Amino acid sequence: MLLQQAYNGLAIGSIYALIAVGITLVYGLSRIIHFAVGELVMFGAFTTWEVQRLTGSYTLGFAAAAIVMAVVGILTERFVFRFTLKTPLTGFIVSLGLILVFQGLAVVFWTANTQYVLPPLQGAWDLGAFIVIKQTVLNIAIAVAVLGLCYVVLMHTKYGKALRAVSDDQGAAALMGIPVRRVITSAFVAGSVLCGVAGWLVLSAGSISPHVGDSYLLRGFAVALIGGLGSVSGAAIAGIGLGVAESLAAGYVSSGWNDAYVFGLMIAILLWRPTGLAKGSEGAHI
Amino acid sequence: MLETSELHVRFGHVHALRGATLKAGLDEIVVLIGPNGAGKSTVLNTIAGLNAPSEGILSIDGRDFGGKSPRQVVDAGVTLVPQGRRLFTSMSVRENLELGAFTRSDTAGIGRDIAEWAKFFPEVGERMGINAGALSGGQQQIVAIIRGLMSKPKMLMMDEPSIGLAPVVVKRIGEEIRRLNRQAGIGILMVEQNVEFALGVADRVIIMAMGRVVFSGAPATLRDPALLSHYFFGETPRRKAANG
Repeated sequence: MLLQQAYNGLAIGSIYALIAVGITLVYGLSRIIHFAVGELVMFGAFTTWEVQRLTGSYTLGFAAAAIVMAVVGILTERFVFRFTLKTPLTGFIVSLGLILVFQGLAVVFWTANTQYVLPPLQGAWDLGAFIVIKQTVLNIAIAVAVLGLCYVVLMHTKYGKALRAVSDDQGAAALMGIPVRRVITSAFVAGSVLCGVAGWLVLSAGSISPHVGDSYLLRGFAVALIGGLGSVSGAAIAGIGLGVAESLAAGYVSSGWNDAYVFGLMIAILLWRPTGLAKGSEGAHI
Repeated sequence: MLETSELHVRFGHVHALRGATLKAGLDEIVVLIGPNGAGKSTVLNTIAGLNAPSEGILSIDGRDFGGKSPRQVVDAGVTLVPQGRRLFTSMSVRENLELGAFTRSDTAGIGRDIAEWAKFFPEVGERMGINAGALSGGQQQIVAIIRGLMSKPKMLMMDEPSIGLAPVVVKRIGEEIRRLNRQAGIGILMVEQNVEFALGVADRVIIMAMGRVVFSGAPATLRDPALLSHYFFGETPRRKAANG
């Protein structure tokens, strides 16, 4: 029971971690609370499903979703959020409007009905102590690989360092010759693609609908706040932690209270550390 | 090398520069002084490409640079060390210096330059791996200057390098600025509030008031306090006040 629930939590937590890192990257570079991330997850999931349905290949679906989400990231930054960079609160309100736009588009393309999806990998391994669904192994591997790539790019490449510099001080970064605008656009691209990748993993739940992003949006933000908004490593670790905690509580108490566990934990942690877990630790920020 | 002519800059309704005309060459240390709000920092920020002039000419090496991007200015060999140092405080000293060399692509050369500066300023060299925000004010100012130099500029602009520093550190910064100019041949254009420090380090002093240049000349000519207060306060004080 303990191992089973902890493992399930790891699988769900890796989805939260991807979304929260996306939220935190966008916030860190633009100070905009981008509330339409749930819809980005939904778009990623639907794009993958649609391409898979047309071509029969999940691999093609994944690739198409990554490209589509990158384009969505560029378009939303260039034509929406760029105009609100000076007033991030306006950006937040605009992102609420984007939720309706994205959900409306999804209903137009795919109807409001729930679509049933066959996950890419079938079957499970029975390890005695607990059962491992093959799909969840793939999910965790994808999340770890993508988050690891983010970490390496941010910490060890010239562009990643430039991105952290823009997050630290935009004016000073501009004086170094860093193309600040382009770096901010790339944060929106990275954030959208991360949510799209989370969308791949959401498919494995077996069904998607235009509202599939709603619960992920709230959990993504809970995780980003717990980790310390603006901290990538904090978001990744808090995502896994929250997934495991939620899953354990669901297993030992009741799954009917899942939302209460998530937000109760968030409130408790923010009362203890109002700026989240990773704030104040050196070098943890983007 | 750097030249502005009748430069105007407006921020909304605020007319910050009202026809500022000045020159700065590679072989000299030029210091801009003047009362608060005279437009000294605006001159540096506009040259650096952070503001676009609304009128007038701004040229680097004879080429027009009005309204160019900060990147283009850095590529032209002019770098600004901003007021208040503005280090990337959540990043290490080494990363700060690497970012100063963002426009360069010779990775080996960047590493060599960082190693050389580390030897030259041992107190900074010993702290390459720690967060820039954890350094003392004087060390941060040295890192800010080295970060500016990492782009290999022909001319370095500095906005109040002495601000918030102890007198002994200010003296040291002044010596380093002189050495940069005399030995490395880097032109210096800086803004200072600390008039004594400014007159000590400058080859030429430019006084600004109300968005215009009102004086340009050797620092020795400004040793008379009455003259200085004339430029700063727009009036010649009574003899008693001048002596006090």
